[in-house]
Amino acid sequence: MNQDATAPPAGEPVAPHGGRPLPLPKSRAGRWLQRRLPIDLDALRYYSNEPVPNHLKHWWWCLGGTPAMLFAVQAVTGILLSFYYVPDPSQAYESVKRVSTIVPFGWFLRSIHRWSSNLMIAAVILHMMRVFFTGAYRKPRELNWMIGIGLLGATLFFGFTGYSLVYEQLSYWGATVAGNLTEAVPIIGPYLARLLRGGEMVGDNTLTRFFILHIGILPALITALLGAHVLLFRLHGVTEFEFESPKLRGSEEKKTFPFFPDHVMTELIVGIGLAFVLTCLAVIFPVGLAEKANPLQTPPHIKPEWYFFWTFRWLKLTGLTFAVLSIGFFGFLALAWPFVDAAIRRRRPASELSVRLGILAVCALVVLTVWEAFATH
Amino acid sequence: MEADAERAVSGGGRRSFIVRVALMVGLGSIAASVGGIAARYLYPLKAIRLKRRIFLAPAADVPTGRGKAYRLPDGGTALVTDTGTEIVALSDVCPHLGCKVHYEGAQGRFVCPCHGGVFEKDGTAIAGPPAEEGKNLKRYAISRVGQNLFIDIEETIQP
Repeated sequence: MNQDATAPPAGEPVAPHGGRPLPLPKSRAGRWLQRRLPIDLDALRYYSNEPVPNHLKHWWWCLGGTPAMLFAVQAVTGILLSFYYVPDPSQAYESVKRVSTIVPFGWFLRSIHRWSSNLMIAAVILHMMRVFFTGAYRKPRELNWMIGIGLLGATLFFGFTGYSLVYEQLSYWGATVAGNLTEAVPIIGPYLARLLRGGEMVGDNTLTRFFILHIGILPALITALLGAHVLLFRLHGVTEFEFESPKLRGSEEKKTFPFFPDHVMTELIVGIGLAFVLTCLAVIFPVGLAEKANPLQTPPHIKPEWYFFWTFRWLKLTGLTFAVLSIGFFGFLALAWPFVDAAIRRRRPASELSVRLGILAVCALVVLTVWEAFATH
Repeated sequence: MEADAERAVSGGGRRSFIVRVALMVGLGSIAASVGGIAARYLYPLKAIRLKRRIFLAPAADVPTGRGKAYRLPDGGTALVTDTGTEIVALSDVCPHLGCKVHYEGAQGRFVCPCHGGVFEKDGTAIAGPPAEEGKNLKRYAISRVGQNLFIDIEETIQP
């Protein structure tokens, strides 16, 4: 047997396992790069061009990529904002004011950052609803649902630490209320609150902690979770559904289309659309600056960002400890839902209880949110 | 029939080409805008320079033959010396690479600790890199009104 027939010429790149010669690109520049970056292009094409079901052509199925793109927007604008931000209670507000009023395009970047954070949270919620109501979290994708809940939690915490950094009245009193809520958690609460605030009350240490969380720990956590989320999604493949509508089902002979470039192209169109929407929002509704934090005076009407409205209303309707425990329980239930749903379906295979409970939960959250939005007290 | 199929394929090809070009243009414009905005945002605004004359000290306070340091409102320090023939106010910033010079009593001269630049009491560089480059200590303009000294300073305000 002639070994040399399959062996690559000396100095040519070889695939790591099996020693198969790597296919060389046609162009000279491509070959130059391939020798320095020995990637198996055939394998790359195989993994990236994976066929995905036709229903992915519909916009509802682009909501997973949307928060990821918005996260990229947050990373770029956030890095730029951190060039002028000073995480010190005596200077934080002034530094934000300076960015918003003096630094060229500062108002624009800050507005994009704020609007993008709101859209990111909305996109995460919509994506999660899509996954929930189509049952895409079921076996074997339970772990990815749990990672998704982790991403939701990290995104909300991102939003909270973000608006605390501005150091306006809402920042200070929001952090104070959050600290006291944490304190209400039985047993570990007081320790957790002290750790979060870096002391007994909101002060110098709190702002530094929130800053490090916002620009270091949470971005790293989200990047890692997002990586795991996408990896698991690609390993399992896209969930296949049985659709009654022929439009979603696709023709019998062609039920799939390639992930790359077709679906990536759709995502890029969504990205350009997002850039347009964000620019419009930032220009038409630029983010202002409220009154500076005053630890001596709580403003008469204080409300958190819209995504925490429901917790605020729930807190007003129930007692402190009950509210904290029930919100904790709700979070745990959301995390463990794939297993709860599996238990329900084991007993009653045709049960639609998950969908009904999901609709109920969404309605409750919407009612609490709208109630808080319009209530004066 | 075959021609129809061919047209459909070429039409699809053309359409996909247009979509690709449109995407490239869209993404390219976003990247260019973001790059331009980021560059303008990061590059500091031009500093504002304000010239003004301020009171320095009574003339009698200035020592003869050695530098006395006066802090100025622009953040700098003026080393003021009565040389016998005139009163000079020198900037304490070495013209070589910006270190702060100090008065060496034993030598009766100003010395830069970084690279050994040596200056006379009137600010003339006599040794080290500043002398080689012919760069003296910067002089502030001093004016005398009655028994008092005034100094002309230039403040730099970074917006």
